[in-house]
Order: sequence, then structure tokens, then C-alpha cells
Amino acid sequence: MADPGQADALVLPERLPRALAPAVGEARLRLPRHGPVRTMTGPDVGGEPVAEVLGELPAPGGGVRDHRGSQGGDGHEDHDMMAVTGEPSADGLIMESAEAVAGPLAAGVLPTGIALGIELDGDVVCRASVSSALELDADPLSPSANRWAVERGAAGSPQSAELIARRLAAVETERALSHSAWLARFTRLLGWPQATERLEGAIAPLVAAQRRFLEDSDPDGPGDCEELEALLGSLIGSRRLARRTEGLAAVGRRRAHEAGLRGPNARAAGIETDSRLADPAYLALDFAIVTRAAGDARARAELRAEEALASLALARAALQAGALPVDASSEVEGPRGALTGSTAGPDGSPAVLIRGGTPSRRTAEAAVAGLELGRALAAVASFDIAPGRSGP
Amino acid sequence: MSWWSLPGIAAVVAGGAFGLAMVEALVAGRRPSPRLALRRAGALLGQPVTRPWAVDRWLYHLAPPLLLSSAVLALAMVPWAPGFRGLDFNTGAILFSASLAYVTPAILMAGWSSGQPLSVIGGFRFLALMLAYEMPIVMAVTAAAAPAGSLRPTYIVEVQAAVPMAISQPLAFALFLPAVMAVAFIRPFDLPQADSELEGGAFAHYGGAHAAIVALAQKALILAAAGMTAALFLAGWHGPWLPGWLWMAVKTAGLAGLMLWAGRRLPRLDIAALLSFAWKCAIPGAILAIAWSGLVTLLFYR
Repeated sequence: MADPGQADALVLPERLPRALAPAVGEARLRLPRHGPVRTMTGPDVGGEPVAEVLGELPAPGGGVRDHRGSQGGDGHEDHDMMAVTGEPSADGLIMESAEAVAGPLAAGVLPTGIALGIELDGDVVCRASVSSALELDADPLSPSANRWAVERGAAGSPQSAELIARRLAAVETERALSHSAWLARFTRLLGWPQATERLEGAIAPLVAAQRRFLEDSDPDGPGDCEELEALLGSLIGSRRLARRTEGLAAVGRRRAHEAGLRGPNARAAGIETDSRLADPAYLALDFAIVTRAAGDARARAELRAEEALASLALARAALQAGALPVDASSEVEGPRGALTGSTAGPDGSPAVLIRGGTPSRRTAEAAVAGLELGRALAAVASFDIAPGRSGP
Repeated sequence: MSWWSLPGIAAVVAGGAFGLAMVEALVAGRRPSPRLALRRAGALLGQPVTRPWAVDRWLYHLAPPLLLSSAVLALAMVPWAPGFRGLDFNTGAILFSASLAYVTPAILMAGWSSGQPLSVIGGFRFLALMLAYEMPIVMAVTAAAAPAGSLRPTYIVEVQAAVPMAISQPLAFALFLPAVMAVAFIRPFDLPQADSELEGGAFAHYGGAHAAIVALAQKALILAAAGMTAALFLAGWHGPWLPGWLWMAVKTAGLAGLMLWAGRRLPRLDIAALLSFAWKCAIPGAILAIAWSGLVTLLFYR
């Protein structure tokens, strides 16, 4: 569905973060005049009762959000071309800028919960801002990694060797799932339907495996992933992928280090940072770090494909080993970077801490200035930004 | 042109669009389902026609019919069989290119009228693309017409009885096919709508009958592009054993399937790369194709 105007109804959770109100308001405005708004019971994403938030918004079918740069139309003032002012754009012309927002409701460029605000000069991005609408600090897309981090961080409760093997398999399965799902989303953004459909079909065994791991039911590993492994292998070195991503939003090693990038984004720039390098459980499985040197969108995509392949092998090896060395570290390498577990959260509850800042978001924002819109969206998506309030 | 040409063209549009939906399902690896295709069309037509609040009413409502008209006009120029030659004008091949030119203002109107930045960008992307690719289309048509000594599509088909133009003029064929795919804005040239980038782009705010008209127009464009390519470069209805109309249908369906298959296999092309290729490679290549066509005509067709 490309437009809320084609929807039959708007379904919302019972509670809504106030930060999502403008986006929900816009979706509501574009509903057909008699389109109903329904609420549903679901995961608690924080916020206030939806009736309170919606009470401040206009009724359905009221039109679209006004923005700078609108043309004439019903009830709108026509902008006098001679009154255009501002800084000249890259080609020396003073253009009237326009604003657009991607997300946070529809998962497209970014996961649901992340909003990308863009200021456009024609079809060139002048400025971008990435913000989270969710009141969560952990990475909500990595439940297995979060759980293991909290368990490891629980002081005085060392894990058994058998449990470590299962948790490692769960985290690696989740990493493979996360990277593969990201690749499916990325190829959808690139307008590559064959790759998207095949990836989305091939990750089904991993989804089922992750659920079994989270339920602690008897996991038998990632399952039959032959098709997924073949797809991931074909993406590494793919010329079709390279044509759209090579040289895009390149972040060199030095700049990545200064920005504080972590996880796959840092490894794609050649920085060998990975919590697993110091983890005896991983070392027992002959873990080898995956890195790239180019630091561009192609490197980030290929690195994730290669890490997904490696993760599937690690998950199977961990379950086969059955027991792995115990370690005192409370750090777990999640799909997007290191997570540190603690049982001393702000209110005493277990918490997962992500080291400070949002380097990927700031780097993505800086990387897209001056890019054509399609390339800018691909550049932002290539950083795989987590939807929480903070993240690597 | 006879009295039943227009109903025949309408039948080609309706039947061709339906057939194309089946080809699309086949290319996607799904089982073709006529019932599902009809149900989807019915669901689309059953949706209310909604109009965003801030919209230029005239342009908004005129754009889909203009798009459909230009598509049907292009389709009408295609010679389908010795007994069903479409409008068959003396300058039919150039009129085909001229009718495709009206697709540009239609999409520009659709994008502009919606009053949203992403929709406007979709419209202007298509404008930039067509400014670049309209010339290779016209030049390739000229190259194909030279051996026939006429711009009449049926004469161009007749002159290919022995050797198709795709073999005698491969450069013109290689430039024409992607250029007409770009006019039909199908993947990997779906820049005006680019669902994942522009959230529907120029057509994001169309629903109901308007969306159905746009979908029908796109299918008609694909059919026109495939049909005219078959006529100009693949010898049209010529072929052994089968009747002429069946050969034309097979070639058209094959080309349409090839276009749809390429759209699934290739990522969307970058607008800057496409424009760069057009101005730096496609247009000079099309000039070379005309020169080659002249040489081939002198050597083999006179």
C-alpha cells in the first residue's frame, strides 16, 4: 500500500508515544473520509492512551499536511516565484526547499519506529535527520541478544556450559535472521523484487528457529537454510548489487573511528571491533572476524551477508558442541553492535545498556547531504539503524 | 482504417492487459489465475476515488485519462496481422513515437497535481528520462524504416520477410527495447513511482478508478512497446507454419515476458546513471545506428 488514502482503516495500539503523533496524524488526515480508526491490544511500546493523543489531531479525510514548497490548490496560497529566498543550492540556483518524512509507521527505508526527515532541494537531499519514536533503550529487534546480555550481566549467576552453547546458537541464529531480513528490506528499497521475494521466503526457517530459542523449547538449530545460504552467497560480489551501492556513503576507517561506529558498520570500514574476539565460547568454535575495507554501502551489505553465513555455521557448531567455555564478560555482540547486560537498571530491573550515542544515525545524516534522493535513502538504509532511542 | 478498427483496438487493450497479467504471474513463478486478476481489477474499481485535500483538481483528474489515451494511441499504431493493421498511417512509426511523447505530460501532471514533494519528484524524474530517451526511440525507428523506404509499419514488417531487423540492425534494436521499456515505466525503469523510494511517487495519491486507469494504461504501454518492437525488429507476423496473427502474438508475448522478467531480475536503475548513459552512449549510438542503417540499405535493400 503506497498511500493511507487507499486504506480501509487505521489500526493503532492502545498506547501511543507522543513522538509518533504527527505521523499518525498525517496518516489519519489522508484516510478516506469515513475510514475508521481502531485500536488493538499488543506489545507495550510506551506512551499515553491513544485517545488522549488522537484527541489533539484533526479528523480523518481532512487533507494532507502542508509543507513548504506546495503548489497552488484548494485553499493554498500560491507562492510568488520572485519571493524565493535562501542559500543557493549546489548548482548555484536558489530553490524553494521541500520537506518529506519517511516512517516511522511504515517499514520501508528504516525499521518501524524510526523516522527519517529529509529537506530537499529539488531531488537532492540538503539535510537529513534520523529520530526514534519508540521509548526504548535496548534494540527491540534483538531479543535473544538482549536476554543473553542480561543473563551474563547478572552478578553471581554464572551460566552453565550447556546454556552458553544454546544462548550462543540463539544469538547467532538471530544475527543471521537480522542480517537476512535487513538484506530483504534493502533489496526492496533498491527495487529488486526477485531478490526480495526469495530472501523473504528463505528466512522463514530462521524465524521459526528464533521463536523456539526464545521459548527455550528443544531447539534443533537454524533449520534447513540451504536456499538462504545460496542467496547470501550470490549477493557477495554481485554486480547487480554493486552497481547501486559501490562508493555510496563511503565511511573511511579514520572517520568511522572518530564517529565511534560499532558493529557491522565499523567492521565494514575496516575496524576490527567485535566482542566475540575476546569470548572463549566463540574462540572454541574458531570464530573469525569478518571485515571489509571500502566502508561504503556495498561493503556494509556484503559484510552482513558474509556474517549471516558465518553465523549459521556458528549456530550449528555450538549446538553440536553442546557445551562451551564459560566467560565472566557481560558483553554480547548483537546484530548491530555490542550490548552490555546489567541487573541494575534505572529502577532496579534488568537492563541492556548500549554504549553511548547514536553514531550510525549521525554518520548516516552526514553521509546523505548532496545525494540524489534515491541514493540518499539507500545510503541511510545501508547503516541498519536500530529503532530504539539509542543504538550503535 | 475500417469501421471495426476501433472496437478491435479496444479489444486488444482489454484482452492484452488481461493476457499480460497472466504473463506477469508466470514470470513471477506463480500460477496464472484469471479469476484473481479479475478480482483484483474489480477491487480496484470498487475502491472510492479519493482526492487529497491540497490537489490541483483539473490536472489530478485529467492525468490518468491522458495517460490511457496516449497508451491506446500508441497501441493503435501497431500492425498485428495482415488483416488487422491498426490505424496503419503512412507515418505510423513516427506517430507511435509521437503518441508516446504524451505519456510525459500525463505523468508530470499526475505528480505535480498531488502537491507532495515525492510525487513531484516522480513526475520530474520521468520528464528528465524522456527528454533523454525519446531521441534514441525516434532514431531507432528511423533506422528500422530506412530499408523499407517508408515509415508505414506494415511496409517495415514486409521488408523483413527474409531477415529481421534485429539481425541486420542489432544496435538499433538494442537501443529501442530499453528505451520503450523506460517509456512504459516498468522495472527497472520504474522511477516515476519507485514504491520503495517515493512511496508511490507520481501515482501515490490515486485510488479507485483512477488507479485502475493508470494500471490499464501501463499495461497498454507495455503491450504497445512489445508489439511495435516485434513489428519493427522481429519481422512482425512473418514466420513458418503458424498463422501471421499468432506469430505476432507469440513475439509480443515473448517480448513482454522478457521485459517483465528483466524487471524482476534487475534492481531499479539509478536516475543519474540512466541519464548519463542516455546522453553519452545511447544518443551517439543511435546516430551510429542510423549511419549503419544507411549502409545496410544501400548494400542489401536497393
